[in-house]
Amino acid sequence: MSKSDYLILIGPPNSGKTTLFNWITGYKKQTVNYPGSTVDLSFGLVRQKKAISSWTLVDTPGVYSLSSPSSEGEVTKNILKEAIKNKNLRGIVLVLDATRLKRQMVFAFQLKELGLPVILALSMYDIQKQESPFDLSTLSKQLGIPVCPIEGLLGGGVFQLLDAASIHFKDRPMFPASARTRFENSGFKELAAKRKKPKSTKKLAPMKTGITSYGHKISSLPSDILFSTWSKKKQEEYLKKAKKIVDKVSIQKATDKIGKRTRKVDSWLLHPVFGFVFLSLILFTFFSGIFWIAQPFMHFIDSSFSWGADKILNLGENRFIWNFIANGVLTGFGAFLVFVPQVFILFLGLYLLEDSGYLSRAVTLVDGPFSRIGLSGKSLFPFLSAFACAIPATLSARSISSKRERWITIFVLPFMTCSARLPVYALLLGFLFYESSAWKPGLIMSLIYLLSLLLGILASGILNIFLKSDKSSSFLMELPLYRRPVLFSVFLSSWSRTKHFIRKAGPVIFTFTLIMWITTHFPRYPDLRPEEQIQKSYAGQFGQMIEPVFKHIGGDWRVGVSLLSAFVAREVFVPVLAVTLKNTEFEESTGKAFQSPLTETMQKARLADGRPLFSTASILALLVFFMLSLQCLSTTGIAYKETGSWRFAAFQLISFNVLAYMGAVLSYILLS
Amino acid sequence: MTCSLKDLPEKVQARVIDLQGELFTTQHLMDMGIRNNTVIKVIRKLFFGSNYIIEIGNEHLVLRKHVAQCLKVTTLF
Ligand SMILES: Nc1nc2c(ncn2[C@@H]2O[C@H](COP(=O)(O)OP(=O)(O)OP(=O)(O)O)[C@@H](O)[C@H]2O)c(=O)[nH]1
Ligand SMILES: [Mg+2]
Repeated sequence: MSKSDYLILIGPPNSGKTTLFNWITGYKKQTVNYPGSTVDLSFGLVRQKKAISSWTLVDTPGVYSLSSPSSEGEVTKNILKEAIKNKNLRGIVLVLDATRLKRQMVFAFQLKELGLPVILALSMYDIQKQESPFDLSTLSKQLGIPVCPIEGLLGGGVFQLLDAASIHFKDRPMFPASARTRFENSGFKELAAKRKKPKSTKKLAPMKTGITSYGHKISSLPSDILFSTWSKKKQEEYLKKAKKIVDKVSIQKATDKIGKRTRKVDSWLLHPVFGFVFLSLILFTFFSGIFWIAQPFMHFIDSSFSWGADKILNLGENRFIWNFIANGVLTGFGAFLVFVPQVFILFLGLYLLEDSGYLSRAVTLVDGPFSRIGLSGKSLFPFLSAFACAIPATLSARSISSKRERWITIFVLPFMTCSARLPVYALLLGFLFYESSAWKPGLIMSLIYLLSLLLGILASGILNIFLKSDKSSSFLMELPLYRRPVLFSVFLSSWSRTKHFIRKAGPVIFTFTLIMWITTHFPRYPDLRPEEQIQKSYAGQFGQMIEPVFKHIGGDWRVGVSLLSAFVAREVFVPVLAVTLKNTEFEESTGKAFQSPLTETMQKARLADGRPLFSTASILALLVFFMLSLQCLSTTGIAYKETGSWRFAAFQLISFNVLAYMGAVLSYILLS
Repeated sequence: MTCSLKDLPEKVQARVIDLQGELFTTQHLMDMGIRNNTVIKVIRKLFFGSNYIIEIGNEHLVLRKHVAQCLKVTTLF
């Protein structure tokens, strides 16, 4: 990173750091009502009233204190150490949840005691205000640091926070004398002697609260000393003190209305029996909704693209350029974009699940059964995020404290139906349930999702038997309050993720469309009939080479080429298949390419011997292949990075794909 | 009655008198605001007693059975 000054956001999980980060930097990082949603650092420039300052704001994974033992904690501690070492720590914004101040305040004492430059952002103040407002100036005096209330949902208090930060951290902060003496008494005298005396001791204008800012420059204190663990006694003392302070600054007695509401809902949603019933219902509704709700939108997109391609071909099918646009570009993108409404609804559903606070309940419910098979309840968060994409999901497994549970979780993640598989499944199901009403494919779709979860669970069970057991697994989590998600921002975030999904796939699809169109049209043999021309084209020749491999799962070379392209990105399977079929299948009456939706073209596609290319057996074999295969090499890359073991990553890659191929062959043989 | 939280019946208020076990777990408990004298109550046990939902102040936490075992408590009434 650049050498600009860091303003570091630190605080317990789910306290609202990322929300604040987004307000200050203008980014749209995902904020989730689940402790442990951020697992990595984010950097962004501080923007204030359209002006961009040179300070860099850093968002960190949540930690309860600097002595917290967790792997995300390391990330936070490391950036702090690094910033102190590089002397570019401008200041720390400690973000504490106002509604949980009694126990989170200990963190403020710790930072203060270490002599770190800190101001307090009191988030969730909108909620706290309703219950029992605080006397903020007294709080600030008691803590000895500026306190800024934040109402994160609407961005209230953000400017004031930045103002306070710019006054308080104007000069580069330093360690006050107390920290220096403590340090010098702690056996590091020689080191300290070598260090130069601080130059300026200029005092800054006092804050309204009467607290003076730090006047010296930070000296490079060996940063390890900062993070030694606190004694139990000291923490007890501070917890007691925190309680006293909160009682003192509370203007009225808290009514705890919001907490009561949450607990009432929980008495049902966390019921030992009904809890599981609700969980299944919620998941089922979510998964099947993906298919049902999207249906009319998909239909609209599909017919628009077919209509467009038809119009363009009417301009002259024999002109290469029109043919390429219609049968290449439009066909490819149309086939892919049809499924975008489903992807959007998937993101929307995930977001609602996560931001309402229900996710933590689901995690709580499944921890019991999951712990029996080597997983943690917290594995459910990566599992569900893997329904969007396995890569961030692998990262989010960091919130699982036991290494064994984390590794098993990462290993089985690729079973989850990621959004890139969604277009493929939707297409295959669309074929299987051609011209039948939408509830059937919707039902099967939700079963596929549940099945992928079950497969993951089954695989964990198997791994659990073979892996050495590990005692360090522990599970301890707070249950956040339920929150009504702000619909506008839910839509906005889901749309921004969908856009990202489209943008990522766009170039790959275009490239493959281009390749497939050219290789099916060249070399040119103008005298041959279209079918023979295809046989002799580059794609046809290559296809015959690979065909034997795919014969066993009921496909021909065209399926083979599409499957191979799916190793670049799974979602590319659909457009490549579309372009390949459109350019290799011709209507008997006219000898022209089909201008019909892809499922229809699939119905009409023939093998060389005249049998239909797609049958129930071959489609199911493809489904099985996609459910079991690990085609996404980025997932392998990230699995290697997160586990640090190439053996793990290689074993995962190979075992998944061998299993997928065998599974597909077996189901084809059994079904045909 | 003095026992570990693991054996505390549901809905009975108790006071924490000791945090035992590995540093990893005790530190985690402290982070959650659990210390000596904290008043604690088991709201519900889930999945054949493998998880405990507990109440501290007006917040709810969930923990596994063997974490509950690290907390020594004494009933209040
Ligand atoms: N009502 C209210 N909700 C807030 C406020 N700040 C954040 N939230 C919500 O609290 C939840 C957690 O916010 P995040 O910003 O993701 O919290 P975080 O500190 O980054 O959490 P981790 O990354 O898990 O450590 C989200 O659902 C936010 O919408 C606030 O000031 N008021
Ligand atoms: Mg965050």
